[in-house]
Amino acid sequence: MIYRERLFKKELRRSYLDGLSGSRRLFVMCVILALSTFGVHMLLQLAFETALPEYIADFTTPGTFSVMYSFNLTAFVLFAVRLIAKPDAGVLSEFKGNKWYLLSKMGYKTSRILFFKTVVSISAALFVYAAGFAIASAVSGALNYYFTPTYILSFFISGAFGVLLYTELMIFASLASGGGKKNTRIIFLSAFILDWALKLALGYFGIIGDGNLMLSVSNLFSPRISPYGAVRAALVFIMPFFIYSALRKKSGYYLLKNEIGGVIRYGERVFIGPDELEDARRKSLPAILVQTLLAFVLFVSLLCNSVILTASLYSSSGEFSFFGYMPYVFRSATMEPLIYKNDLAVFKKIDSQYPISAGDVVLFKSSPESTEISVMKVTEVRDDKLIVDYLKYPILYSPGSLKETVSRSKIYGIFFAGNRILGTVILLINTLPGRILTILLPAALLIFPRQLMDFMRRLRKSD
Amino acid sequence: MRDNLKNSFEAEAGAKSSFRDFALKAYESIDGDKKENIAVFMQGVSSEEQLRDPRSGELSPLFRNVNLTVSAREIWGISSNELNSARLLTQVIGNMRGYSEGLCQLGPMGTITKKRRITPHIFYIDTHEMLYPGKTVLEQLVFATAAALRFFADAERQAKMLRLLENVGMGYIALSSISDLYDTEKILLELLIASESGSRLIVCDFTAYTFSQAEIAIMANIANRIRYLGKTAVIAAMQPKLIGMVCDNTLFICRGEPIFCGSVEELNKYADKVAFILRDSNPQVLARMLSCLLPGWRIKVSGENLYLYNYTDKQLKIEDFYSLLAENRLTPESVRVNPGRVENSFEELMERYDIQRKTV
Repeated sequence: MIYRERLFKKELRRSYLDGLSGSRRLFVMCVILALSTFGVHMLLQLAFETALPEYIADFTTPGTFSVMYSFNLTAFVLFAVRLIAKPDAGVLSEFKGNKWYLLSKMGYKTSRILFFKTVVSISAALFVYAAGFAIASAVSGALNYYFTPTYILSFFISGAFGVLLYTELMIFASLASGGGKKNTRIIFLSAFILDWALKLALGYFGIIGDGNLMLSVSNLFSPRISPYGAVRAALVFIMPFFIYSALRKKSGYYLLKNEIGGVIRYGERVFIGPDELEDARRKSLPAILVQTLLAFVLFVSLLCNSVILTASLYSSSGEFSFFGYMPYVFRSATMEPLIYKNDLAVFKKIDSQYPISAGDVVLFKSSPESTEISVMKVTEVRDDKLIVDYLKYPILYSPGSLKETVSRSKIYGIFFAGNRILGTVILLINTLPGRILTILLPAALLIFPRQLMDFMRRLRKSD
Repeated sequence: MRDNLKNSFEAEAGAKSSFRDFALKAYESIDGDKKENIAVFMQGVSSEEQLRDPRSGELSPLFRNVNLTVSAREIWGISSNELNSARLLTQVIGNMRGYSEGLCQLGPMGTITKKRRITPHIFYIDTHEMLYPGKTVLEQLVFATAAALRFFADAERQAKMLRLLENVGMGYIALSSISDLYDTEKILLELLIASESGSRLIVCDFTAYTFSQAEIAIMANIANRIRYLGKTAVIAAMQPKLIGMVCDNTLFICRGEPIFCGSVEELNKYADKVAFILRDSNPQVLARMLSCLLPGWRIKVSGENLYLYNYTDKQLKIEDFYSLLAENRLTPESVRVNPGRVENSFEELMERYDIQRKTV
């Protein structure tokens, strides 16, 4: 057996070993990407029914219903999460162990190593994206999801450019941070947030959510519609030159592994002992902030869930009273603009003596045994009888045709307050992904913190 | 007040620069042939980094006033009572860090201003992570030397590398995956690769590693190859055994001061005063009797071993020692002439240094 070693082959193999493009790992990543798409798609569909479109109108255009739109969204987030979780993937691993140094000492040209390493990193990312895209398209076709083949090329190109940009950004961040994982994460996270802010500010979601615009690929890059596409394309082509120049500069230096007894303050040339170092670590403000924020999120999500679960256990009919107030997630549009569909509406419990006047929005049941609850506005009060009506009629009904006369004794609640965001949150929590996110994850973090930390440490070691 | 301070700073800076000029002149005055043969020339080098004494708060350089001349084909071992001193000195020699005083001239190339810059003539090793974990040892060696030996056919190059591995005693791991090796074995492979590189000076910081006896033997074989190829190596290590078996010369730093600089043989001769090592099941009785028979000698009991230190001017031959034992009807289980151990020498040097400091 003769070992024939070519640089490109070695670089590919090296990348496999890094876990960047190992065939099994790649396949798993593609499948995860494709399957997560459907989870995200369902959430987006649900979110579209809630208050979300009102708050970020550009983001939730009708195009949100497309599986491919969901795929691109999932791909961006998953790539970002992966790159943040494993900042070593890519070029930095060469620096960390001075592998570059050994090869350069043995007569290899740095420029060739740099070129192949960058090519492999980018092509592996593109492969995951393309294969995931193909799987998601095939599955959505098989499941009869809303799927428009005419947009497919535009979606693919839009997503591919995004993935390219993120991979390049990650490589650049790893170089700019000088090897520190923490700094790499911070730089990349800032770039990721900036990218999304730019997308929103420059109206890019308006293009990818618009079926007519997505028919032509050129619209993605048209500065007249949104300058974002053109700017991103330019960045994707310019970034490799910056990366190459930074890499060339960095690769000329050896990365010292053995520091002298901890950290050296260069100004004073005095060593800091391990105790002082531990103090510094303890006082780290970002760490305290992150921990506090995490604890707060955990507490709130557990509190929300426990309230919702207690409410559903307390009353099988779906009604729950909390200090005389009854919360409902409103699933109809008949009371718009006062109460929108999927809003959280809170009603105050009242007795038969409570004075009701015209204009009040009331809660009643047609009979005490009935499970159907009605909410209508009082238009007139006639002794013991109330004339009630809807605020918004369905399309096929003429105004006033659904007016009802209700006995005062049947009315047991009066509209107190409503909230759009809380309604969205409760609906999302009640879905399966919502439950996992808000119960299982926080519970796991609270119950098994040490085991999770050990697991993360092992993962880091295996990196 | 400020002027005085300024003047004193200027005077100090002037003294430093004048010493540097003096050292540079001394280096320049070396004959052409000899100078070409010098790999590292250090005169009065002190470290910039200082160590703060946690009790007194006093600052002292990690090493000071180091004079060292490393010639081609020499293997130098640097050790210290405190790990950081040896490590930092290796980093200065490897052009990884600067220094505060003196002159450090790296061979004919001089010293580059930019630190950590990868230079063609120095191969610096301080980590075992330079290798690719998915390759076998042979693959890695073939791959690393592929560019340097590109004129050879693949099969020939591979056969050469396999022979090389066998010759240095690493044949048993030739087909093992690098991920399965110990860190110290990886270091040995890196050292072997370095010996095959184009660099003339190999600088190693092995202070973080502990090698087994077999690994030290392999390193000694690699050191022989480095000498054979006309290269030079400077190895920082905290294992006296490694220095004794691998290196020709050694520099030992105790509390920042170089207390020995010379060949390992000289060190053992100068500092290792153990003449004989005896083994007996009842060492205390034997020790008492020998202390009467050998006035001026020191006898140290360690387990079942007795170390006999000769502090007299007179050398005692082994045959005379046997006669002495026979005359007094002493029959220890075994008697060995001390082969010279660097460990003993370092201990002895440190003891002497401490006594000297106390008396001063």
